[in-house]
Amino acid sequence: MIVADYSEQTLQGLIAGSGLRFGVGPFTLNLQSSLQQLAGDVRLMYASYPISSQPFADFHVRLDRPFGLRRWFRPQVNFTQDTRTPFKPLPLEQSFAMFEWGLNWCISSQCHQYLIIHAAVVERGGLALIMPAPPGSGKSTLCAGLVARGWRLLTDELALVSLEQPGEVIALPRPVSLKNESIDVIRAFAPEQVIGPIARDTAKGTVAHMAAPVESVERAAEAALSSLLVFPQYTPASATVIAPRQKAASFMELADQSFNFNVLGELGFQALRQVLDSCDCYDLSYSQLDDVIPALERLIDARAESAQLDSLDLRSTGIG
Amino acid sequence: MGKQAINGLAVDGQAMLLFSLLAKPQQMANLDLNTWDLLIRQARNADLLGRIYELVAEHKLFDDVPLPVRPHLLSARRFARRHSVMVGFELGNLLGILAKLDSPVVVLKGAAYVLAELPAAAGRVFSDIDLMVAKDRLAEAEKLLKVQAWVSSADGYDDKYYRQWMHELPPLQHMKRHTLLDLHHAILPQTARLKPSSKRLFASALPVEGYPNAHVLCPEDMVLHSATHLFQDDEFKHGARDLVDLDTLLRHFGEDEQFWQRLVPRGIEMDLSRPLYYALRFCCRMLETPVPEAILAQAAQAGRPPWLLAGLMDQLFQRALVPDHPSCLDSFSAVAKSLLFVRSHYLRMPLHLLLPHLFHKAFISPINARRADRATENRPTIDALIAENKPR
Amino acid sequence: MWASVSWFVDPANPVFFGVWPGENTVVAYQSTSGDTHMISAMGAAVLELLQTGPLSVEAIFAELFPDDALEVTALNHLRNNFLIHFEQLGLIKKTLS
Repeated sequence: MIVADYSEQTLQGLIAGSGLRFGVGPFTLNLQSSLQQLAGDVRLMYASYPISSQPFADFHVRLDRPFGLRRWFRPQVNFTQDTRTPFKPLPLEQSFAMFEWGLNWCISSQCHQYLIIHAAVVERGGLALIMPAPPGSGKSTLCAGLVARGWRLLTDELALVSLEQPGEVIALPRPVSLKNESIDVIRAFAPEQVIGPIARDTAKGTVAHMAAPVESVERAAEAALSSLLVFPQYTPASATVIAPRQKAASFMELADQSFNFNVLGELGFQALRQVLDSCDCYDLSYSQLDDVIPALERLIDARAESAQLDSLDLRSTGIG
Repeated sequence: MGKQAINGLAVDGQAMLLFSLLAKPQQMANLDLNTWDLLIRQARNADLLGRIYELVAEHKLFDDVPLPVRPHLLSARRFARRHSVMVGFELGNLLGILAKLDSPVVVLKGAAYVLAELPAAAGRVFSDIDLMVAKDRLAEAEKLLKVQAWVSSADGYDDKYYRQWMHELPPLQHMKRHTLLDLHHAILPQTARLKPSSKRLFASALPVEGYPNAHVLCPEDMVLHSATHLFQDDEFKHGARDLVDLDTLLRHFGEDEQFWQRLVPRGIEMDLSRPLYYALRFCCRMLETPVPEAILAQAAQAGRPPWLLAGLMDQLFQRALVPDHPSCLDSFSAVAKSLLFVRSHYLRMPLHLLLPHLFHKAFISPINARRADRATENRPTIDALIAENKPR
Repeated sequence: MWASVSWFVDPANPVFFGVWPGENTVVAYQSTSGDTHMISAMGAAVLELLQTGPLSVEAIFAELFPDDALEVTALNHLRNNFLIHFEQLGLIKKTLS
């Protein structure tokens, strides 16, 4: 049973009532709202996510219009987790984006069972490519482009690094957030992809989300081993340039982009060290998706081959 | 779960879930997932998730916790442990800086629980560190701290308000690590009706091993301070958590029979028998704290208000102390909390001083004027919050 | 005056290292304060020594370069460019022994 198995009307009823309960990566979410349009947005963007009948939900979240005079001349929306309202209200037309950001907040502030890094992660051939994300780096555009060309989406914003399996990243496939020009870039590059409601004048400019591909959602239980750590930089009119990068400096950057590196203490340090152990690190500048995607494919396929050779080596020494 | 009477007060069974499990942690062995769902939400909202983990661990119940629930408890534990490591680290720094004072420093509240390794520290998350020095050493302490990057960001009005009327300096913050520090010279504002003597607090404070200048309040004073903080203060936002602090302290210190014998007399001596009465009464009612009957009677005799007021306060506190969660609130809850807010100001300041302050608060600097406002009114934007969440 | 000074890594704030083959910089993480630093491999070797207990600048030099004679410029370099810098960063503490 998946979200799209319900009609918009049924979803509307669930969301207005006891809540729509569905699985998102390793989490179960209970969503309630008094808003009319949210059911349609959720049905579009979370179509293939599994409906959950589990009595326990990790997060109970609500989206509602705040009370007060303002609601008549400038409608707004509030995000709440139980009684907590972590953000100031946003304009009503940013409801879906607020839902996404609110869920980011729940996960990044409460899930210290993972080391959480602000990064996109995609997978090919069982190997994970991690792209950390200082704003303006174009990582979401690149992530959306790779996913549209068949890479599996693990996450666009929150990389969940396992604290148990060294170097593993847990999949949390969710809509990919696109900003400003990226929206049209991806529409032109991959017109078959589902793009959700457009929120204008947000803190990040114009924002729209690209739905995660069905296959990524269906394979959400599969973790992937971190293998490439690439720091992308969108540079207008630049050729694709990939240059090796030091691991120590890359570590510092990832620690800086982590939400809970410090909360985890030594545990977080060891988990991040293991990510660096298992990754080759590169700086990447690019301007053309058609050019950069094949380059990244060659890079990760070469990595897969060398890993295969390594394991052959091990086997032969083991026999000898 | 319907309405039921607990010790004569009608309360909703659901509302008491968190408290009844804190009182009888063994019952967590047999909860179904639905109940865990509600418990986790109530505990998270009351900042007691870490406490639930500690109780589960203490009673060896982790294997009875259903799989989907476990990450929430582990996560809360990690957060709380990290917090207490940081508090210990900051305390080490602060006590080092203040060693030059050559005068005792009393560590208060949560930081004291960490320093004295009390069970009340386990699973607890504190928003700041509280220290107390003698009033005539306050200026010197502030100077020493300033040199080491502990500074106040209070504006002119707030700064003046704190210095003139309060029992502490405007909150100090470490410039690099952003840890908050409250530097006290007393445990209640200079204007408060109750006048516990700081001199007596210092005189009975106990030294802490390993830190030549550090002290913590003696057990009775620690309980009295915690009670004063909860029942005289306006921050009922943390009512449930603060009550659990009291319960944990009482259970721990109460193992010593002498503690009970000293408690009420000390309350009278310190002019704090009223908050002590409330503390013992509500700990027993809501968390089944094992307070000897004789001591309860003694505390009532010393601190019980006139019976009409006592009845009203029962109703107010009952609602203010349960976790801040929709499953625990009724239509009277909001009214109760706002009445208690006004009461706390009335208790802390005579009315002629309170009025201009409330006026200023409401119309001139609603965000900066009071500490508690920071948590609720000054809500950050999403970007700021995400940035804040990233520890530097 | 300098001769009586020793440096050490505070056992209450231990340092963990991230070291990768072929790189001459190392990540040093202090698990209590939560501070993360990027330091030279040489600096990491100094810190590793100071994890074992307080050492004077002469003793550190002798441990690092057992075959070399003590030399004032090298000692000054070690003190000024490593120890004092590390102390300012909160990586090590000073004690008068």
